[in-house]
Amino acid sequence: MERPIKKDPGTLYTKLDTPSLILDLDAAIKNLTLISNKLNSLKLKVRWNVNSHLTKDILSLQMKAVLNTKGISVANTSQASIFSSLSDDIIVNNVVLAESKLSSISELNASPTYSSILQLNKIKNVYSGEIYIKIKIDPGFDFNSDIINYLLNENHLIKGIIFDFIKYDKSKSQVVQKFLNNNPSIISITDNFIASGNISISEYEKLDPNFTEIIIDKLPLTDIDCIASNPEINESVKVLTTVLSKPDSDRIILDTGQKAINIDYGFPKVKNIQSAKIISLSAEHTSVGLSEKDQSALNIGDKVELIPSDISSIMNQFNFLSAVKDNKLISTYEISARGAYK
Amino acid sequence: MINKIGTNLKDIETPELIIDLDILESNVNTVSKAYKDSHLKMRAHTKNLKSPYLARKQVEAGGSNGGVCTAKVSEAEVMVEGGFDNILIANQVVSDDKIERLCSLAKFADMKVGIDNIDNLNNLSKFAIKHNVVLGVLVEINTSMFRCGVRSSEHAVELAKHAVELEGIDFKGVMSHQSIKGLPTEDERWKVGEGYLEICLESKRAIEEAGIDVEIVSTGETFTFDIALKYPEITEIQGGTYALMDLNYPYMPFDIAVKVFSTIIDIEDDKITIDAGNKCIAAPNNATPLIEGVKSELVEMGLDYSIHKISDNKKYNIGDKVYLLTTHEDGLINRWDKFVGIRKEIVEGSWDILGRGCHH
Repeated sequence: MERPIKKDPGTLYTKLDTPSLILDLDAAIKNLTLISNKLNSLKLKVRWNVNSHLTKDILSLQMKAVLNTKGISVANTSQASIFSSLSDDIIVNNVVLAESKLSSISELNASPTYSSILQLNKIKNVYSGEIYIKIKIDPGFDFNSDIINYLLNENHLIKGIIFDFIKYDKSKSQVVQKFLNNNPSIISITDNFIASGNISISEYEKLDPNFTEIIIDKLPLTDIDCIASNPEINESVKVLTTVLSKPDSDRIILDTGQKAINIDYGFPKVKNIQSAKIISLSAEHTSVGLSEKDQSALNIGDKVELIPSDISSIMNQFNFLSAVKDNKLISTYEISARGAYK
Repeated sequence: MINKIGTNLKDIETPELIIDLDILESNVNTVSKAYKDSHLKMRAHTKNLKSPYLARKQVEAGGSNGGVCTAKVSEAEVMVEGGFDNILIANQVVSDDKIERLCSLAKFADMKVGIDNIDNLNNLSKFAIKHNVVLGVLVEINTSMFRCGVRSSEHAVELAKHAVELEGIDFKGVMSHQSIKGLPTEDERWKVGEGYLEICLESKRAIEEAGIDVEIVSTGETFTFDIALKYPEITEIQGGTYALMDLNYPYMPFDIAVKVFSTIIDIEDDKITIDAGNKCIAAPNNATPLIEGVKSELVEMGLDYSIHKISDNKKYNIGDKVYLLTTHEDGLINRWDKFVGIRKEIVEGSWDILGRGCHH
């Protein structure tokens, strides 16, 4: 049975079926240009974290706009398989233990990531390919050299070390140098140091010069957190919803709930209605409190736009993304790795 | 890797969405036994299960009116394609495009939809006439959720009076959905449940007093499935969570059949990290998942992993498998494209979750 949910190119975005995940292409391209300009003066190579968008069309935009792209970072083996047609330099930025998955990784020429001796011991007799080591840089972090000492005595092939920042700030600007000072012999294993995690665009040029690569998360897509950390970027993603009910004079009910916009990392925000405040999201509905004046200006069937709190998790709940330019639908991007968890 | 029939659970890749078919059947049979010789029938709410296969199992068990509920037109399309011909969209359908699709479905199935607004009702009539179909409507009554639904029986009567006058519209009755918070005692559950059901019935009686027949009172959910039996006026229960269950209803006579099978990928002190995170298990702030059979507490929910603090004395190893249980069955199912049915830890089949992502 035909389900005419997708609309033809040229359709005004406000006429799209709701809830719809909307990408403003102009804003996305501007964001990519901004990143490219920032990185041009640096020696850093870029690796796109496709786990934050799961979409081949967006990776293509990223690779086209930023020429010093080196490869991609994926979350698991199935994502590596999906994106292997677009990149042959793939970090599986997570632990992989199952022999069947390690075998797939070898075939794809990708490399998994480990962060503890327990994990490395588990795979040492079943996997001989190259691996990455991940060090989580929490606030107040202190390098534990145990894993480095272990690596110096084992035969694992190390392709690089990923420094994963919970939140990058200037106190971390010498992080690799400090690491090298503590572990000078690491250079005999690898000289590839990769910055990853929550790093705003304005911090790129302040990164430790020993970094060779940066994994860029989310951008050019945006969400509430991303906009807060990067005031210079352009808001590129929103969710189009419809007013389903006006049961009270100070509230509207939208046709979109947690199944489309997950709230695991916070509530979305209502765009362009000053008095609007999200009251709750259930599985299929959002209750929005607002002034009587704003409520009376809205009719059942009118469209309301929401800014998501965390775009990475929301991308995984939609099957496609509507790419819009000048308020009109240009293309529909399949979210190719949605549901690829293994 | 394909999870072939007969595969032992220990050999499948993780994370994986598992449904224990024995538990599922036991849950479904509990309801079918309760409703078998009753006036009250189950209308399975497929917004939870999103699978025509599982909905069929619920209907075939007995105690059902043969119909199903959906929350969206796109879910209804999946169920009609799956062979169901009696569908209640227990929600409002307001956009012209969606009303057109609703009318298309009405050519294949008996379609009913919730209403709470007179303009929407007029629009439903307009499109029903255009497509030469009849749409059943039920006035949604707000009993506790304060989402959609009329706030008074007077408003319900007003809508019912208008509906019976409209061409293309068949006024069917009233519907409501309610929730209960926390872990009520049995007395509290009955008191709260009866209170909500009475609110719905108050509107039903007011409509009848206005001289309009009410054929359907469609209400309830898992926590009132047995309470509703005492009301001869209630014709059907919209049961969603009961078949697969989650952590929210430990006081109900159902067990949890749906779980995420996952692997321990790291151990540090009293914390284990498993390979199931936000993407594959819904975890809103107030609804954290738990590991089955393990005294644990969620520490961190990443996109692709979760960290749990363990407070028992068992010894865990990297590579060990655990089951993650959810507090939000709806959200969990909606994040997967397939589920694996098991019986006594052996794979019995794998089915597509055809209604996944049907937000429209």
